[in-house]
Amino acid sequence: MRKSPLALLLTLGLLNTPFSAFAATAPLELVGPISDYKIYVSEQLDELASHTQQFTDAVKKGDLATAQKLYAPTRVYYESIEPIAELFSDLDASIDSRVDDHEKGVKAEDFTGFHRIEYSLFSEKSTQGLGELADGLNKDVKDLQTRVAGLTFPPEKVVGGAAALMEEVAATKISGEEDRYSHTDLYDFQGNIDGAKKIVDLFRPQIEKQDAAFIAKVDKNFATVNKTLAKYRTKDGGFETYDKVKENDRKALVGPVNTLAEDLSTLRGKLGLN
Amino acid sequence: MPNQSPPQASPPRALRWAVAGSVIVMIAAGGLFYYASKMAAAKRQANHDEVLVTIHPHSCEPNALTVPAGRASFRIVNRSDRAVEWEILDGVLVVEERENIAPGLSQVINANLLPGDYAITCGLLSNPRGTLHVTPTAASDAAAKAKPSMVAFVGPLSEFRVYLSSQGTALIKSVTALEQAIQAGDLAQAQALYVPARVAYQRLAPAAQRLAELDNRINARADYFEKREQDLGFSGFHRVEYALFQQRNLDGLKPIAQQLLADVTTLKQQLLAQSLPPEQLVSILVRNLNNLGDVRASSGEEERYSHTDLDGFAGNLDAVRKAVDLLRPLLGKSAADLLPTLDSAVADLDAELDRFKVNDGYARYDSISADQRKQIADKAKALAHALDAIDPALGLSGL
Amino acid sequence: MGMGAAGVALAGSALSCPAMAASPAQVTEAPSSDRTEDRHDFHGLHQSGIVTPRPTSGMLVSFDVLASDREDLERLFRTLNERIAFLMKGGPVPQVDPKLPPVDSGILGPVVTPDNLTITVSVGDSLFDERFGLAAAKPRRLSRMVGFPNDALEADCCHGDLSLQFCANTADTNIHALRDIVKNLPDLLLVRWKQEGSVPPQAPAKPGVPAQSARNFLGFRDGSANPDSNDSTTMDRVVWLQPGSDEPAWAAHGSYQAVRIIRNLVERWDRTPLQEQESILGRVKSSGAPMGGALETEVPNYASDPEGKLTKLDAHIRLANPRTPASQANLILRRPFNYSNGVNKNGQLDMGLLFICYQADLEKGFITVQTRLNGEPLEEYLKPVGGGYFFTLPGVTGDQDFIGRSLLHATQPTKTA
Repeated sequence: MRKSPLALLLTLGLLNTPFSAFAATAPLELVGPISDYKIYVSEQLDELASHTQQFTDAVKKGDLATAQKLYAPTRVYYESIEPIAELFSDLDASIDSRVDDHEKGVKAEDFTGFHRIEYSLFSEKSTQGLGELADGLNKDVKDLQTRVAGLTFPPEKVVGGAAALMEEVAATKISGEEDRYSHTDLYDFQGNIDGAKKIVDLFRPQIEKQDAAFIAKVDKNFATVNKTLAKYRTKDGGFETYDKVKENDRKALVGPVNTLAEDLSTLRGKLGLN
Repeated sequence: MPNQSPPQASPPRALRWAVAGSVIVMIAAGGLFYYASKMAAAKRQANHDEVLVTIHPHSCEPNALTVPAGRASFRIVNRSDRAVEWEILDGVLVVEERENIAPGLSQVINANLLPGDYAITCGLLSNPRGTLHVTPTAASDAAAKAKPSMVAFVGPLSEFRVYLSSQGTALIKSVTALEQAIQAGDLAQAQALYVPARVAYQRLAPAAQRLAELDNRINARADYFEKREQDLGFSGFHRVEYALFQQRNLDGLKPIAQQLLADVTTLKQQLLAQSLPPEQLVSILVRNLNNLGDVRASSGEEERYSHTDLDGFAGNLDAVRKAVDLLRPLLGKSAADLLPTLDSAVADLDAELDRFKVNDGYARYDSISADQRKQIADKAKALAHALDAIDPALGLSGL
Repeated sequence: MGMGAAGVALAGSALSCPAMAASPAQVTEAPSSDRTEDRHDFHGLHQSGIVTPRPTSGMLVSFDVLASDREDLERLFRTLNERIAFLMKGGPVPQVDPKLPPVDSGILGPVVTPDNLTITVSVGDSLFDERFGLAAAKPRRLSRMVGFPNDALEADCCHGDLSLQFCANTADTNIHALRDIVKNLPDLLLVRWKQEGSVPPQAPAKPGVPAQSARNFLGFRDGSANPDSNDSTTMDRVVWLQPGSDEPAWAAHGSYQAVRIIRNLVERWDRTPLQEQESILGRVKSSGAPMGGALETEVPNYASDPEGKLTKLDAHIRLANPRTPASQANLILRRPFNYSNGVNKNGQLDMGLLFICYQADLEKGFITVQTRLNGEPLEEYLKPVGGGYFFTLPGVTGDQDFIGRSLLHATQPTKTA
């Protein structure tokens, strides 16, 4: 019996969603959420700038303990807005590159920013000779603020940022290789998640109009991730080091994270953006 | 036609004429009706561009259309079993639509289309969309200043809203400082802090002035009130200004200052809550500049106690500059010939105001002569005039 | 359930193919191939494995040369020559006393079959150091690969004194050849890194229909714009060093080989809208045609698209080859394989492109092209982790010649001028 191609595909379960034609989102409806997002990013960058100043002050003063304490809480403000920061790839590289991005590893002259300082603070356990790196980080963060202030946020980059943040988590935070010297990955993890959820929350009315079931599923997965991460909170509102994460919790995070990545990758399409 | 009353002793001839006359009228009416419907049918048939689209339960036919640019008519026939709507979509924007086409019936949709590729909906949302390819014609090529679609305004409008937010924050901050000086009883400090607060307001004024009631509480001058300066309803910036610069004392000013702070806080919220369509972005600036040119420049009435009008004008110009810079990419693409005029009008007004700069501020307005005031007014009106050309050039009102 | 019932069940399903309905094979029976006797000539002006059409399996192995002097180096080359000649021709394996280890791994059985094997020998910049007196003869553009901005090079997967490119119909033939060479040169070669790869086969093209390029792991056809490898004039210009060029005379008829192990972030790619994938690459995914085109063989017309409205200005293919008169000097011959290694600590798949290309001028070729690509949108999905630059030696012209002979001859210590 010859089945029609469509019937065959349906039988094989290869059609997850019907050929959906999303009703158009009126452009004026995007103005509110996009500007709210820029306001959010500017506020996050203000926090990043002031926290980085405190962090680098401790580094330059030679106060190892304080510098170590301030490292992770400072980075959170960068991780939450990473997709916007990444639009300026030179600054992203000088602020946030990891050691594997450099052929000469820790010795590479162009290995600067948070993780290079992390290496000294947590692996070498020293603040020696970090003056220039500290000044450089401060300068780069201020530079980022200026560039973001002058940037008209493209709608598709804002909405697509939610998916981009989930890709970050899936590719580097699940394994704890982002902060390999300090093992403070859970802070960054939470920062990425908060940043992605912020975008979803800002566009919630528009998304709900297109697909209410979708939003419910996304909310549920965010809740699962946040609940699992919350297990590792410390009394002062920080996080345990990554090595404390139990294997079953790591696995409990992977499923929702990957599913959020899949679901949020459809966000632009659902809102009719390229 | 009303029922004829049964014939009385009326002259038979008149009755016969009456009946004959009404029959003629009826035939004439029938003839007119026939003629009119024939004309309608002829009109329909004479419209060679009428594109027939049939909506079936799960598809539309044809689902790939091509029409030339300009006016096109689409006759949508609903052969499904439920009421459907039909839309032409340009990206996220609905270009044309007709809702509620009843099953079994048809409707004609007329659209004026620019060249490009559009999507058409085919009934149920789950039905695959069709395509509509609109080919350029000599006429559309001639009008080929490609008008930006609504999507292109999302960026500039978002940025302007961010501007309103940050200026709103700045306004709240400066009014807080002013209020604190008043609470502390420090007249000199309050006088010094009046100007920055006022300038912060003027940077928002074009947008604030859309919110009539709130703006009156913040910005109304004494002449709007029956008892003028003595009126209990007189409040806001100018009541503070009156106290600081005319009465030169802070008596009874604390609650006024507190209310002003509350009102500018509400102003920021309201500015962010109101959506600002593209044509209004430009028209509010035009209105503000025309008001500057027609009224405020010559009268010096705005800051009649503090004479800090020039600071305020500079604030208004800041708002204009911001909007022009945000629209610059669009103008460059679709109305490039407007940019030099705009930029030079902005520069002219800026230079004109700069002539009266004193250190970090401006000269007192009561030292500005009538001729000088006219110069300022003229430059402001020229800028308003240049801004006025944006709407037709970018087709803002047609979006 | 016996074989018969299984056969009936297969024949009855809508998805059965007629051939299977004959007597089905046993579980462990070797899959049959009628191509094991495919072979290439080892001898030639150029080495094989460059303009040779790719078979399904490839492998690139990089070695450190352990030879301590020129005598050893010559022994290395002569042995390689002998082994490669045998492996590419095939033949029975010598039998030895069973008390001794066998001389062959036995993967291909007692008679080695060529199975379309080519082995291509190339040498790295580091071979021309102070060890063997080769420095003066180094090809002018050969250098040690320097990382590009998007690279995350792992030292363990980079560079090498010598590379061997193995290509055959099956991975096992390549593996058999590698094990043979390693066994024969224990004191002269140390495996530094290796990467295997494959290309997906298709049904043969219908007569008159141009054959299509194989797909990579982004799902796109790869190599659509490759120069015609059957056109010897083009190959002489793009790939082969010519006699009389500014390169050392011994290097004529060789080529430069650039190898890059480029990981593809496939989960992320598979979550990217189709429209965006096509806009990033600059081609239609299903057909491989340029944007707005219908056939893979069509050439994009960038001159009529100066603002990049059809093919974006930063699309991969447009950056790699802008098709200007000047960029004609930067053509390369791509010959990559897809690799699939394992899974990383994040549970994401480690797979990507074993990129290999050949060109007569490494600087004008790969290095210029990759420099143009720096910062392209595709970089979000790529992470180059290894590879190196090598010089592919000229061909072995006959039985008197051996691989590497012309290089040794050009640097003989007693040689004057």
